[in-house]
Amino acid sequence: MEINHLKKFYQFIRIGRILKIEYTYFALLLLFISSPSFAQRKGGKAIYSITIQSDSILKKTLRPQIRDRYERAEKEIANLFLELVFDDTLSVFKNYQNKNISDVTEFALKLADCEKIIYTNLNNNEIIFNNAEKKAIFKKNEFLIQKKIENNWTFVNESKYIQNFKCYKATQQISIVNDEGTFFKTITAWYCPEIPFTFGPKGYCDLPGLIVELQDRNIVFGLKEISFFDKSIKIELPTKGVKVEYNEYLQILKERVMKRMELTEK
Amino acid sequence: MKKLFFSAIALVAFSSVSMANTIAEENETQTKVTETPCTDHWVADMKIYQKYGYTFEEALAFSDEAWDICMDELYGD
Repeated sequence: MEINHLKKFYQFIRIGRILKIEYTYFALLLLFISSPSFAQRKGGKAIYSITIQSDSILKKTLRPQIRDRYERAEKEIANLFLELVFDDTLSVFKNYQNKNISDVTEFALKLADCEKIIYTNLNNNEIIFNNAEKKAIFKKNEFLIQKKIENNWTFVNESKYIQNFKCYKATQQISIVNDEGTFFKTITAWYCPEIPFTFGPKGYCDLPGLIVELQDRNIVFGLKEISFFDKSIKIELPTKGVKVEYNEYLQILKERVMKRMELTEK
Repeated sequence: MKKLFFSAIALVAFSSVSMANTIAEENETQTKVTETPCTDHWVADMKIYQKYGYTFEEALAFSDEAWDICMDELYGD
């Protein structure tokens, strides 16, 4: 259940009016006594839903067989939820209680780039994750990939309410360099300063509030529910695997993919 | 007149046969399949998705999925 201290605040104001008490002082007093302040909160857990927005140009690009699977993934992804657990300096983002998932659901997770568990460590300013198992390419947890956090957010003068939280918009341009050239994509985040934890889905962070909604291309992560902890939580960072920088990991991935292709052709 | 008639028939018949042979050869070229069709598609897909702006890793997710489906269709599980 969502904890919305502002709703409580307004309830107290109404009680104050009924009791003919100066409502401002009454509300403030009760808010101070009964509503836990964010200063006492040590962390929290946010559950996100995922939506794949329709992309007609992409669908035209897909082969018929993969288009069918993509369309099924668009529907099945509605059954997937992702969990973000966070404290002041660490967070972990992962698939939430989705066990025995189908091939289509697994494909949906890959589309959303959410098949791996992503850790954000603000102490070291980095994102950490293990590689997913990939047939004939990677063993599970073979590498421990480290990627420096480089968020260049642009604050946009727009706001909206999401799940009763007032959120503000920020965007960033990310450059993508691949074998076909250099491209750009825009990440759109709606963050809520009321929730003073600077984390979000997929390792995006560094905004003055929790990211309540994030759009990466046509994949949208939306906050479904949130709860907070009053006691410290322990987020254990992964230790398995050979440590590599993200760009080095991509190079290894490419080399192994090419090698796999050569073996397939023989 | 009869000679002319049968000559015309022979000419048409001969032309038809020649054209049929050409079409058959063309069709044979068009339907010629490489030894590794799934891999050929995979290579093309990687190019297409990266041209669309996906990272190598993202393009790989699409291409590998299509490759798996192709292999299942051709060779079964």
